[in-house]
Amino acid sequence: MRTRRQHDPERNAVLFLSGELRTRARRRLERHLLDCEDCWEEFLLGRRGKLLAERAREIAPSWLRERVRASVATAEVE
Amino acid sequence: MSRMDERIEFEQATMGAMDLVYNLARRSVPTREDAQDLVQETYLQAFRAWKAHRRPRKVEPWLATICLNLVRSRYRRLSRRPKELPWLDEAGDPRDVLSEADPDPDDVRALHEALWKLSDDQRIAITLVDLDGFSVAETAAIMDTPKGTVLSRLHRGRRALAGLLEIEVMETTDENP
Repeated sequence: MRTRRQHDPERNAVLFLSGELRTRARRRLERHLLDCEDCWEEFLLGRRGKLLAERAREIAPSWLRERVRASVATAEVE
Repeated sequence: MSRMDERIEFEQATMGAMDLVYNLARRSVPTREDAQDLVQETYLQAFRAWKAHRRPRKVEPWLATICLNLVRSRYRRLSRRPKELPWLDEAGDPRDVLSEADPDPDDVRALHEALWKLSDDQRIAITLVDLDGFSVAETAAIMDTPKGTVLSRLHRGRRALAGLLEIEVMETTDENP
């Protein structure tokens, strides 16, 4: 039985976006998201934030790799 | 096993995770230089543990945990957010940002600034999950926090980020949210 306490739009949105739900739970939540305005709004905000965050991904400079290799080589003989 | 074999084995196991550690370091300390030092210290500490035969089953969460422990112990002063953000001028070099499209440098800078306006816990949770690709369970273990707390930090951080930025975002399909 669904109670008011169990309905948590934040949790529903982040769980859905986590991609870690099993197929059945995911489908159930997907149906709910489409029916529930509060959850859908949270989902859209969460997805937008997630996509923005992913754009901040960087690559380590190649010289840093060499610097780390060199320092590890030095530590090897310590 | 010789010392050199040990080092080569360590490098083969861990060097592929450097981007992951670098992204975490960049969101943990404010300047690029501090982040580079933090990456180096993380690898040195990991190598010392490796030589002492303390080897993980999976290197990525292990390195991330070492990195965050170093932040807590040695970089705490640096990781505090200043009242003003003068160092953000150097924070968003778009050449370092991976993106399918060429990002607008102003957008990249705004993104870096917005990430630093989040709480430390939100920023680290977002970095571990959205930038480094850890699962919620792995992130919870790395941050030594319950899963529910990670989920809450993630969502509130993402929501805050969305509210702080007006950058156009390419929407994904429903199959891949």
